Amino acid sequence: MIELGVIDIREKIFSGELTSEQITKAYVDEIKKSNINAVIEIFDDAIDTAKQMDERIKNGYRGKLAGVPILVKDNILIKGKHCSAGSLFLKDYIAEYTSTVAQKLIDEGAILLGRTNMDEFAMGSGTETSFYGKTLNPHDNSRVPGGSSGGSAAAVAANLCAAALGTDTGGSIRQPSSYCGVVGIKPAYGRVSRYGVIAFASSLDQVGPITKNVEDNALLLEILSGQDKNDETSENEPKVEYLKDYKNSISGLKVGVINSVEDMLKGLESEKNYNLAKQFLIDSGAEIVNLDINNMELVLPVYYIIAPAEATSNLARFDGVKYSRRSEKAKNIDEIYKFSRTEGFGDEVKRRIMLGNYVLSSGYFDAYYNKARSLQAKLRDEFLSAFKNCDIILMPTTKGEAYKLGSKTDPVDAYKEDIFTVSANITGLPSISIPFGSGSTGLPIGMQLLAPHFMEKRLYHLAKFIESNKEIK
Amino acid sequence: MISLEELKHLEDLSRLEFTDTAREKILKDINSMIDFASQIQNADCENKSFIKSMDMKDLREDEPKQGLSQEEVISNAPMKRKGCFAVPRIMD
Amino acid sequence: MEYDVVIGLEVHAELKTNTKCFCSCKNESGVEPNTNCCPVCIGLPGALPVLNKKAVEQTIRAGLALGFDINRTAVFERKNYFYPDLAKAYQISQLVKPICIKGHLRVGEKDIPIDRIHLEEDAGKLVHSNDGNTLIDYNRGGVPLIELVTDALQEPHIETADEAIEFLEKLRQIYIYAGVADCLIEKGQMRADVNVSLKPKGSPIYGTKVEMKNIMGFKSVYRAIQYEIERQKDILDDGGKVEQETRKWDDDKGINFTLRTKENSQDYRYFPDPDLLAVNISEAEIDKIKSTMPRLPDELKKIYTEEYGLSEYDADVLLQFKHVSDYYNECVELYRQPKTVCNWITTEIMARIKTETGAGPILIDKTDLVWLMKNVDDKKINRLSAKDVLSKIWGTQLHAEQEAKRLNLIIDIDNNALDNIIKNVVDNNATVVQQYLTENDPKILNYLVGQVMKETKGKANAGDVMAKIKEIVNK
Repeated sequence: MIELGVIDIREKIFSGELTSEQITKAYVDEIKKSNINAVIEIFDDAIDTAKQMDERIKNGYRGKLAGVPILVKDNILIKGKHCSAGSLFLKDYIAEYTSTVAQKLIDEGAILLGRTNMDEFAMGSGTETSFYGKTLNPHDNSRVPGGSSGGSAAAVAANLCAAALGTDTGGSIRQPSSYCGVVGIKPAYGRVSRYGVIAFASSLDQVGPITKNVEDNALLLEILSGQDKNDETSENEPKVEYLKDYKNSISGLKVGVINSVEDMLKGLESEKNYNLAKQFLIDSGAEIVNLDINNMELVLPVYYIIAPAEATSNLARFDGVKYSRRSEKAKNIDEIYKFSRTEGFGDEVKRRIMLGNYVLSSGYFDAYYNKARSLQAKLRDEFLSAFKNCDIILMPTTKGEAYKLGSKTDPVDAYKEDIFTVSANITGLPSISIPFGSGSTGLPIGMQLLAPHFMEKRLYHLAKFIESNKEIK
Repeated sequence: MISLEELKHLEDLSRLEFTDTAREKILKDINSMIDFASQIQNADCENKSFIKSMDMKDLREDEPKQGLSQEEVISNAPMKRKGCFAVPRIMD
Repeated sequence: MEYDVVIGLEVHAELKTNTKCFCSCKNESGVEPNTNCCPVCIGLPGALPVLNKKAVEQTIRAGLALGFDINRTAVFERKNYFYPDLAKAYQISQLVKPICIKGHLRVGEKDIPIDRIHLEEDAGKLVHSNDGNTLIDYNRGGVPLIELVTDALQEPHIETADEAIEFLEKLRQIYIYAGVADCLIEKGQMRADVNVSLKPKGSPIYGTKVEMKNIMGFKSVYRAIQYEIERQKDILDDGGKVEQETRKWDDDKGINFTLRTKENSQDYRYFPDPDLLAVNISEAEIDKIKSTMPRLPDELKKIYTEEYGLSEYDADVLLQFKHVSDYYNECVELYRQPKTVCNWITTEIMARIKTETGAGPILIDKTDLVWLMKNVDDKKINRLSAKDVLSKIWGTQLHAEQEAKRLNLIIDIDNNALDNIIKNVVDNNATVVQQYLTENDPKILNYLVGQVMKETKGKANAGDVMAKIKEIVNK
């Protein structure tokens, strides 16, 4: 039963075939047995909550997630629970309040099962920088699950939960979804509230669901989305039932492909999957539209300026004064800052804080931060005009299969992992990754779809079509 | 390329401190990161960034809401005294 | 050598709002530490700022009161620095697009140019405890603050400590009248940083600017400026060079000392706050605020002097405290005798409310004061009796009319009866009358008036009585 997804579990609970307690216990057992270190804490009240939920359901409660066990990434706050963003700095931090996204899950009857491992402060693409150790790819334990939401993607793939929440700043939901063979969406910026989610880069961060199938994903995003008065950047967009009028046809759909992306793909492992996907779409009646987008090769450096700049400022509040880890060596305020942060943060976080301060500091601000923001605006415009000629854009999610644990030692080399995913964050566009075939060793590889702002519906329709029909040929 | 001196300035701005050996590695890393970021400098584009805006009438109304209790506010404090966060005495 | 002095001011004032600038916690002081706090204003992970509309309105109102242009798009930036009173380790402020740009304030004969007013959040409070620790209270953290910066590079300049103080006093009065801030100096609700530079008289080149922080109260601002001008004069007279730096004023010792040199100046790494949207301010919003702008001191002074015919001095006395001029305006509204009302308020009322540091509340309802003034003017009550009534009802729930009646002070004696009383007094005091007629001493006349008043139990009008006595004895 652990293989079941969200909707299946809910329906079985409603029909009496299954209880929330049974499925919750099954996942708890599975997590305990698992060796991939995807889950860093099972909430001790999960089973009790499931029992109470069973009572409520017996009395007629019909929440959209009634009794369904869901894991959340370790940067999503739930009042009274530990939340550490994978960092030693926040090892002992217990949230004083609940994030909007967690509250929305609770309000629909979900059982919050525990928290998943992640790269420290979501900075990384392998879930190798967590204070809680590395997470392993469930399909091949010598490889990374991807990151930073590697714990969430691996947990979904390994059937440690019905679904999980991740966050995506530069690909942190889609890339691990690709590596673990699951479905992950980075919604349009502003679709989902960021309130109560530990910020990495505020203008790029979005929360999204990672699921076993497209329909579960659409349901979860429907629940998570909506304007939040606690988050000015959340948008007043109407709620959409993403798969409501799904038709099993994509005839006439205009699928854009970006010429420069195809150039970059040459010789990469996922080139094959990408071409297969393209062919599959053509065979299914879609029209392929070639797109020119200038400066695509600069989207990565633009990202690696804006994200660290914001992160530097966002992480300054971790100063050892108000919560969690103050260095025991510190004897005065300057030492509290310096020692607590030096001890509390890992190398990658430190590097990005330093880089962020570099691009923001006087003398460099215009050449880096301002220039990057200008390029960002230009790229955004280019994507928006590209969508005048197509309905949806196809790209690979990753360069290939999951890489080997410990193989990315050079930071810049690791950053290049994000090459295909960051454009959705830089432009604010919604983007989904869905499994599409496998790589040279048989491990999953995902394809990525991008749609205009707040047109997640298009993503879900095509994703559902691919999911339902790709095995046909 | 930044110098060791500049690196120390960044450490200071970051409130971080590296040992001399760690500093060697971070200097190399930061420089290759800066090098990577510097690619954008040759790109040609207008100096205009995108910023979302909202109308003043849609801003939050000035109505008080219950926040946290004092106990909750300082619940995670590494050191607390008399309902306050505490740090060793600051000389100013 | 002779120098031109150029003084720049940065003035912070806490805005009057119900809630903080970026969260819905109460904007309120004097409560238990850390009880007006939430995830946003104590900088918890994941907390996000949400801008208070009223704070923007108040900033615009302050700007309009000082003739500012209002930016149609306002942007908020983060000013990054570590200090324990700053929960997020950055202050949300405005750099590139502040709400108000280019205004001015009249000081004496000069229109002092002001560069900007921007909206930002206040920091928390540090309390140095005697157990060797510094305690942090974030109740004030996030309270909306406006920062006004004069444009010291434009003429005319603030050139003396006196002008600086006049600027501050006037600014304070305008903020209070516009209703944007209470500006209680002793509560730190209005604070000023000062910068001073000297240049050889007539030189177009500006001298090196020295900034002074941490000056509490206008008296200290005055002393700090005087001190700094002299300090720089001494350096320049000795052929030395003034260093660009920030100095700290020590009010106890009456000196200042180096806080930060230019080399150590902070790099705040400003950038637009990605958690907040830019704010579009429409013409309609600005008009709405304009239309609800209370009358400001300059406008009121014009009305008082030109329309009501008050002296400049009296107008200033009324305008010194907003609640006094408000009260005056309300009384005039009820009783269109602006001079009479002014006399009563500047004497009787001011005497009762004036304190060492300001003015307390007016503890008599305006309708009661108006009743007294009107009835004195109508000769229905004697001035002295009216003052008695005022004293009796001040700070109580009593009303003037009832009290005057209770004390039987209302003049209601009819003319025949009064004539009879006067006649009797004159007849019974023939010797005194005779003495008056020979000596013509007003004191003797007053004695006679007093006798009549005694007979009438104070219920006659003394002036009338005097006239009548004169009339009778001179017959």
